[in-house]
Amino acid sequence: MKKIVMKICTGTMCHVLGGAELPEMAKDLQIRYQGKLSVKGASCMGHCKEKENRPPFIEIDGFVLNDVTKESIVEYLDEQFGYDREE
Amino acid sequence: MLNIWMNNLVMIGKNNATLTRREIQIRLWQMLGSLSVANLDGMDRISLEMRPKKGSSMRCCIYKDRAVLKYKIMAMLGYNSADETDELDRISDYFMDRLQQKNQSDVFLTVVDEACSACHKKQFVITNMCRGCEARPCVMNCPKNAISINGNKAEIDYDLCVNCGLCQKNCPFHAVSFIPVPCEEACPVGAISKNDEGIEVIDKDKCILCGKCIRECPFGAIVEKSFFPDLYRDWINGNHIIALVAPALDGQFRSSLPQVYGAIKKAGFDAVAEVAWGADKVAEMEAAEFHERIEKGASIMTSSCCASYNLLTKKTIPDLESIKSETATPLKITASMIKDKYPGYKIVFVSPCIAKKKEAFEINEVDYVITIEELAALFAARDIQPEMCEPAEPVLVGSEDGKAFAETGGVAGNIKSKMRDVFDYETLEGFDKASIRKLKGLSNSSSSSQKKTFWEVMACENGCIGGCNTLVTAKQAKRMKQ
Repeated sequence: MKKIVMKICTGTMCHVLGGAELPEMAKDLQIRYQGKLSVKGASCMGHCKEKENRPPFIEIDGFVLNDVTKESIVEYLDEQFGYDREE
Repeated sequence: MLNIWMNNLVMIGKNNATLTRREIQIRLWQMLGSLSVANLDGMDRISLEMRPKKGSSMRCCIYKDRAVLKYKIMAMLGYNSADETDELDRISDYFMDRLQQKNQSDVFLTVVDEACSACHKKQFVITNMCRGCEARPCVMNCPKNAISINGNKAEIDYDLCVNCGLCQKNCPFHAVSFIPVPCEEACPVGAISKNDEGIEVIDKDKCILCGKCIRECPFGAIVEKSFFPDLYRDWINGNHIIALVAPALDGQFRSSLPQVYGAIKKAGFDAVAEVAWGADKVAEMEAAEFHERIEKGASIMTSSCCASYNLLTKKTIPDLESIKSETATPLKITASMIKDKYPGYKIVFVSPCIAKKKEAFEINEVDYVITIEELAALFAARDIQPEMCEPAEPVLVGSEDGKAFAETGGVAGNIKSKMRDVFDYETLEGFDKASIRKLKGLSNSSSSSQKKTFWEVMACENGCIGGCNTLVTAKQAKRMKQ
């Protein structure tokens, strides 16, 4: 099965505006999704240059998520992997 | 006793008011263009851009939000609502006024009236959980007879209540709730209190600029003056500028320290010097000083590098002055070296906290202070990525020991390793009401105590890396040090 690739922006804008701790969740995420997810840090991906977007940003298989938090990332991935959050 | 609630109040990390402040800082720098073109019109539009029509608001509506943002920016520029002669005055007007050096006040903290939500006065409240029980421990235990039962529910007479909390402690139904005023709870020296309108006011004679209120106010109403206009002025005037970096800068970015220095140079500074260099000197001097004091019969000496602690000994506990080291701060020592070596350069300290703004204001060696947060906002605005920058060498380099000054135990550990005398050391980190009491006790015990003890005193938990103007939590900074 092909892994889902998640890129966490480590650019300055994301770092300053609430994303500083996101790269540290890589290990926990890989454990939670047992090898089905590949997490990478990425230098500024340029999404902050678009006015409507709010940092911090991540990309999941090329799809851009903005204004993310640890919780919103897990929520999104749970849905992608079909994890039942009610359990 | 109030410390029990204090612990629940500490907001660290996720805090939208902090992000708002950083966003303002970034947007201000963005309007200041590359190096010489200021977009004054854009500066006036920041509040509109941050709260666009049809967008969501933090308060009742976007219009109130925009007004609050405007006053927050004014406060960053060093003006408060009392300075406002005409409500139509623009941010750019204040900015230009500041550029012309008209604002030279030493007020570093402003309560933005419009943002202060005038939190309810600190009090205990009887909630609906009250059953009007027969035992009535609230009534029975109240030392001021402030509680009565009215219609099967307890009621507090606030004219009599002294906020002792015994009713809360004794209620079996947890029906008594404590409503704090976060800034007042956080202030270790009682410098912030309400005026007649319920708005918080800071007593400048008591304030030690520890920055706790900035962090704790849920409305982000307490704003510090920024020296970014001074930095901008020096750039457009073509002055040479040297950045003196605090040891606490290490671990703030996801790149090596030399790369952060590269980023600082890319942002327009001519050179970088490590204040850790001065810290090395301080360690030697303080060790020698303590040795000398011990020979003269003293048993206690405290450190003197924390700017907030230095304000505390000056304003609140003068008795501590006699047991505090007389050695200059690492900043002062580094800056005077740089001033000799680089005459004519503007000397800017990159600081983890606000108290250093006051220290720099009072000494001749340093021109002004830019916080780590403000530096990062400058990087963000100019699209400078430290991890992509060429490493740069500082003109003054500190040792690993000097760099350790940024963390709790670093100063004391250094002194200990440099002294022949046998002594204990204690650390006091993170000012709150309890630690201030402890310090008061320390000043009284100095003569009777026989045990030789060096006290390292730092206003922030974990030391400077826990400063109010850092980017990441102290824990994360420790992990990110490379």
